[in-house]
Amino acid sequence: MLKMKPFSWDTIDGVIAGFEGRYAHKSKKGAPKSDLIFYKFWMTYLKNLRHAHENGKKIVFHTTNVPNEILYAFDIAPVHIQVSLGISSISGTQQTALNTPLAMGMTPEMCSLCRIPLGFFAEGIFPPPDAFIGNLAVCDYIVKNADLVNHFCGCPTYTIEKPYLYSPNGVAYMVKQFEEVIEFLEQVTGSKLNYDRLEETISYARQVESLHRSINELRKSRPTPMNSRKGPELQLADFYFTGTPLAVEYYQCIYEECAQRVEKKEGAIPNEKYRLLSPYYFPTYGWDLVDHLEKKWGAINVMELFFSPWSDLDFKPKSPLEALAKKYYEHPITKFQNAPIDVLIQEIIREAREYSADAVLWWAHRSCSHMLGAMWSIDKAITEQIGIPILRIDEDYADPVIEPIPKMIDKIDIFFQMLETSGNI
Amino acid sequence: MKTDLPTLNKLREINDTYPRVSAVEAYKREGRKALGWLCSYVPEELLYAAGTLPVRLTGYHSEQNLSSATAKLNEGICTFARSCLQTVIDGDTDYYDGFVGANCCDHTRRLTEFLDYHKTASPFNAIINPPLKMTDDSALFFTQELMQLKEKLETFTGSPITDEALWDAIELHNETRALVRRLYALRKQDPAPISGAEVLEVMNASYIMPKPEFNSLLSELLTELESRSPAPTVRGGPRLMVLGSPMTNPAVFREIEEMGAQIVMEEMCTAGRHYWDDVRMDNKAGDPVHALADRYLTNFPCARMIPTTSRFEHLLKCAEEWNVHGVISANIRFCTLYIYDIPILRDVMEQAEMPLLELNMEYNEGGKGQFRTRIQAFLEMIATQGGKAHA
Repeated sequence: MLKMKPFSWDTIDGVIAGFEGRYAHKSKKGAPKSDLIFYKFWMTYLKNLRHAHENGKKIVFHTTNVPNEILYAFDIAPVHIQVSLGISSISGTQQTALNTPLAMGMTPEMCSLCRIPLGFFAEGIFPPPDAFIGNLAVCDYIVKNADLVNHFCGCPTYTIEKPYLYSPNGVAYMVKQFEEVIEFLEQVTGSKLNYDRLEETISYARQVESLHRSINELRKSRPTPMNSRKGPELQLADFYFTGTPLAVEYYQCIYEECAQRVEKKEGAIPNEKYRLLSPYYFPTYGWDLVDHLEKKWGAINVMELFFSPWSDLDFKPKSPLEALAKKYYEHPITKFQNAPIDVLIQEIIREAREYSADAVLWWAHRSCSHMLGAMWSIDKAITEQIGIPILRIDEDYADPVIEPIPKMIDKIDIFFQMLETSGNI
Repeated sequence: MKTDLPTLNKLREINDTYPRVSAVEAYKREGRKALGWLCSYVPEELLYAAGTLPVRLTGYHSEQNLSSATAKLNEGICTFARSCLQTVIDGDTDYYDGFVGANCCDHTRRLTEFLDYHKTASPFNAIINPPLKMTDDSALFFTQELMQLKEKLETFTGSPITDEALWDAIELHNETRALVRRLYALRKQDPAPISGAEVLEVMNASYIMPKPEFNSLLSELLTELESRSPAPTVRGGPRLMVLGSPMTNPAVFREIEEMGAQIVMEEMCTAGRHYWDDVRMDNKAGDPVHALADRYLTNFPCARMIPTTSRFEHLLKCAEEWNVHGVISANIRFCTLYIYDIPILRDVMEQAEMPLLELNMEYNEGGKGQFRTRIQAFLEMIATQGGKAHA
C-alpha cells in the first residue's frame, strides 16, 4: 500500500508569498492592469484554499468542466486539480510530482498533466480534500481521477459524465447529473443550495462568455491586439473563476486593452509578421518559447483551438441547469479538444481563414491521444484546403525533461528560416 | 499444428484464414452483408437482428509492421488501434459492408472517427456512445443511443428490426454466452482440460463466425473436452489469471504455459469477459433495446467503467472461483484506462495476498527475452513464496 506523505502548507504558502512579491514588483513597475489582475487571481485562489477551513469552508477539488457556477454558488473553496501545474513549476516540485505516480505503478508515457495532481496528493502538497468532483469531458486521463482520489484520500466523490456528442438526450442526462452534484454538495457542506446565488453565478459566467466572443472578434484584426501568453491566461481565469465578478473584471480588462490597440491600429507585439494558429497548448514551462516566437520572428498566436469562439447558444433555457448543460457541451475545451475529426477539421480551417493564419503550430503533447490521433487528418485537410505551412513540435506539456527547450527553439528557427527563404508568406 | 480435439482443429482452420475470414466470405456469397464492430460495448445482437453478420475488428493476431497505420494515427495511439487500422489499410477488411465503433476510449474512438472521416472501411459507419457510469440515468441514455443505432441500421439495410428479431438475436447470443461460461467452468478443474492459449483460439473464432455455426462447434468442443483431462500442454503448474488490455495472440499464452504455468482465467475484452453476463429475457413484452443497454452497461466491466471497484470485485471473485495463484496485468503502452487502474489494483491484490506481475507491452507482442525472464521469475516466486508477494 502506497503511503501518503503528511500534508503541509509550506509549498502553497511559498507560492502565495511569491505571487505577492511579483504583484508588488509589477505594481511598482506600472504593469498593465490585466497582468496585475492575473496575479490577483492566483493570490485570491490560493488564499481561499489556504484559509478555507479556518473560514468554515469545505475544500472541494475538481477537474475541468465541473461547473464553477455551481461550485461558487456554495460557500466552499473550489480547487481545480490542474492548479498543481502552476504551483509545481513555481515551487520547483514538478519532477517530484511527476515521478511519484510512477512509484504507484503508472507508466512514464501517461499524461504529465494528470500525473502532477496525483503526485501532489501523494506528496502532501495538496491538502486532503473534503470532497472531489470529476467530469469525464475531456479525455481518458480524467476518468479515474475521482476513484484514485477516493482510494488514496478517502473523501466522498462524484463524477459527471458528459456524453461524447451533443444531443437533447445528452443534455437531459447532464441535467440529471447536475441535480445530483447539487445534492452531493449539499451533503458535503450541510447547506442547501441558494438558487438565487446560482442565477447570479450564471449571470457572471454569461458575461465572461460574451466578452470571450468579443475578444475573439478583436483578435481577427491585423495586427492582432492580444499576445500569445494571454490565451492560456484567459483560459485559467475561466477554469478558476468563471461565475465570479473577478473573472468578469479580467475579461473586461483584456477586452478593453485589445479594443484600445485595435482602435490605435497597434499590435500586441511591435512587428507582427506571422499569424499562428495553435491547435494545442504550448508547454507549461515554455513561456520562453512564446517570447522567442514573438521577439525573434514576429510570430504571434491569433487563435487557439482551446480558446475557440463559442457557438451560438440558446441562452433562454427552461432551467439554470439546462443552461449549464448546454454551456459545458459547447465549451471550447470539450467541444473542440476531443471533438470528432471532421468537426475539428471544419473548425481549424474556419479559424485559419477567419483569423488570416499564416501557419499552424502544433505543440504535440506526447500523451494526448485524442490530439495525436487526429493530427494527420487535420494536417492533410489544411494542406489540401488552405495550403499554409505546418510546424509540429513534439513535446511534453508539463515535463521539461522530455524535450529540452533549446531543441524546440532550433526547430522553430529552422521552420521560420525556411519560410523566410522560400518567400511563401 | 493439429491438436487432439477435432473441433478445435476446425476452429483453428477458420482462424488461419483471418483477417480474410473464410466463414464471412461464404456468408457474403449468399448476398448478405457483414458489419465490422469494435469494442465490447457494441451489442452484436442489434447488428445480427438487422440481418447482417457482425465481425469483430481486432487487428492482426500477431505483431506486424504497423508503419502505415502509425503514420496516420501517430505513435501515441495504442498498437491495438493501429493494428486494427493496419488491417483496413492493407485491404484485409475490404469485405466489410459497414463498421460500428464506440466511444470507449480515446484511442479506439479516434480510430473509429478516422475510418468514418476517410471512409476507409465502408460507406456505412456508426459510432455509439456507451456511458461510463452504471446508473439508471446512464442506462436510459444508452438505450436512446442504441435506438439511434437501430434506426441507422434499418435505414442501411432497408428493413425494420422487429422486437421479435431482436429477442431472437438476444436468445442466440445468450446461448453463446452460456456455452462460453461452460467452457470457462471446465477451467476450474486442476489441471484444466484446455489451455489458456486454446481458449484464446476459441474466442478468436467466436468473433469472426456466424454465431449459429460457432455455437454448434463450441457444443461439440465441450463434449470432446469432457473426455480430455488434462490438456496435453498443461502440466499443472501455478494457476494464473491474465488481466488488462485486449490480446488475441495465442502464442503469448502458449509461451507462458510452456514455462510451466496454466492460464485458467482472463479478463481481457477479447476473451471471455465479452460473453460473461446474459441479456435478461424475463420480460419479453418489454423493450429489447433497453434490455441490451442494461446488460452491456452492467456486464463484467472494462477498466473504462466507473466506479472502478466494480471491476476489482469481479476480478477477486474470479480469482477465488478459479483458484488463481497469481495475476498478470498485461497492458498495452498508452492504454490509459487500464494503466490508471494499476495503483488501486496493486492495493487490491496486496490485500488479497495475490501475487501480481505488471507487464507494459505492445498489442499481441510475443514473449521476448525480458518478458520470459520476468514471467519465469514470477512463477518461481509463486512456487517458493506460496503466493504472498508482488513482482
